[in-house]
Amino acid sequence: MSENVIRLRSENIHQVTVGGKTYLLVVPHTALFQPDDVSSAVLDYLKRHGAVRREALFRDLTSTYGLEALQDVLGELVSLGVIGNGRQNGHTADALPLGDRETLTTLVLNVSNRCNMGCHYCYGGGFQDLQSGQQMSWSVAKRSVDVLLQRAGSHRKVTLVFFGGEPLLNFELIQRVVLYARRQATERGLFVDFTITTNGTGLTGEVIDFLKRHRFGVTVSLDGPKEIHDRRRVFKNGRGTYEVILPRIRALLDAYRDRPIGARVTLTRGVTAVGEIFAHLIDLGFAEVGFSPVTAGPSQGYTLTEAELERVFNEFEKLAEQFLKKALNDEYLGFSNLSQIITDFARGTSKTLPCGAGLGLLDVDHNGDIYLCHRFAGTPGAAPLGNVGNGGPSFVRIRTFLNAARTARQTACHQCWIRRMCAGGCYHEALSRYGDPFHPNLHYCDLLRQWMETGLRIYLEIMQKNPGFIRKYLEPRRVDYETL
Amino acid sequence: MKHFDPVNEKAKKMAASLSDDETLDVVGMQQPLGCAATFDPGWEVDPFGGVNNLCQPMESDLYGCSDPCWWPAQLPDTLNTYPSWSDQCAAVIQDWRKLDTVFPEIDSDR
Repeated sequence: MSENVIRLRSENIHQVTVGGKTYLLVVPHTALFQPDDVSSAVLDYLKRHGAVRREALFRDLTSTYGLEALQDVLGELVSLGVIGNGRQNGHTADALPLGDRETLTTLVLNVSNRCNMGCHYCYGGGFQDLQSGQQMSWSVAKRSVDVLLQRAGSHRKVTLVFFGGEPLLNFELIQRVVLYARRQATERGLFVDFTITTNGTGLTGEVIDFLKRHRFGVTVSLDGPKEIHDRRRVFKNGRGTYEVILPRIRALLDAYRDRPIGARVTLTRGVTAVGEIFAHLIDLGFAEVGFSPVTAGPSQGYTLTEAELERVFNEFEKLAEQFLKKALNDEYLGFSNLSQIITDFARGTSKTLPCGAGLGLLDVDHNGDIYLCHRFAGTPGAAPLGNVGNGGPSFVRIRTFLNAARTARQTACHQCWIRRMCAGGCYHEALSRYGDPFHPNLHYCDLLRQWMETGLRIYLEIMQKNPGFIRKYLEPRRVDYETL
Repeated sequence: MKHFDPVNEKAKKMAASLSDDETLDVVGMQQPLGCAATFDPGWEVDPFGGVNNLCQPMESDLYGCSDPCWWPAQLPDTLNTYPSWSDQCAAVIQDWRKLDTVFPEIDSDR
């Protein structure tokens, strides 16, 4: 009996109207379609009625659209997973197992636990630890490279990320690792790419030459104009760092133009001037600026208040309008937070896990202990997932973690239309905020949904007016999670 | 896809895969082909609608899950673990009483 009932699976669709045209996002696949008149009418009808008997739908709509077209539409809606029968479906659990792939594409090396700065909001733990912090040894670094190359599987390109503390405080090791990794990779027919995230204080001429020679991807952590930057990004004696890093960053941006250099901005309590910060950093010459709003942390004193977070997203919206205006003129505005979403919509990225941590990306700390990502290294309560000197990563434990995360989040997020793009958000943030890495980050859902809506609208507007922009500027940036 | 125009890459892929063969036919197989295929619907009924291979009476299907193709079922896995389970049972219709229950041995290594 229930077979004759058609039920709209409203959790699987999201509709959006742009430029007078209505689009259908098939949520589980992040697939975007433009329905025609008949399918729009059927969708409207189902939205009005929820669950309806097949005969009733035919009775009401056949005179306008014809029986054959309606049957076609229903068939297509079934294929897309948009309608089901009358039985109440539970949430769509992901039946696909994670698989037993035990390959790596990216390894983050915490080459130095030391930092010459003392940023107030640092998640790297207490300053004492950083001051007396340990440096990664050559033997740990060498083993890490070996693990990455041995675990590359069918990937031809792997990435080594130098992270800290401040990684450039262990520049000697970085040089040695790069030469070793190059040689070993070449022997195996692999290509190894290097990236580094630095606070900018160590960017001497020698360092810049080295980064250039090995085509490093470089990201500089800084917070914007002097008065904002110096509020929290200070030396250990409390003095601001802006004046020190500015000439070094200028030297880097002048000398190294082969790859786009990005700025990473941390937004903490009292700092919401996204537009001003963005303009300043783009003026300095950064190709991309990405913002990380702090909404959870070991010290709640630095987290943005709810009102501030809302202001941040409002500022994001304003920048998004600038991005759109430029995109329609075929110009690119390096606003990472938005270009990432647009890339995801263009591609149809559908994630059941929020990031690549554990799915090809792992982190190694100075002892050789392996963690899901750089944020977990040294976090109290985070147990290592193996050691590079002792059997390498435990993929069983990694899979157990990822499966638990996926189950928890799919249950909690099953009705949300951005669930396949957000997948519950950062594990580490969840651990800080809720004491549980599997917990979805519920504290910014509404804002994030609104922000995704903006991203979707802007993607569709670009597709209507200047579709070539996506191909030209965004496709080259894609990160292929599905082949990890 | 006649009524939905694909916009992004994923939608184009979906539309292409759905239009390749919109309705998949269920193909009955009298002869099981390999392991995973034997539980395809249609295996049990022969091309003429005959029910000789059906699992009624149960004797005719008893080994179906353990001999030609292992599948988790409520009888011992005669392929790997209990190869001699049915040694005493030459003709299952007569000797089925000789089929006994088995208990897994506890492996201290696991």
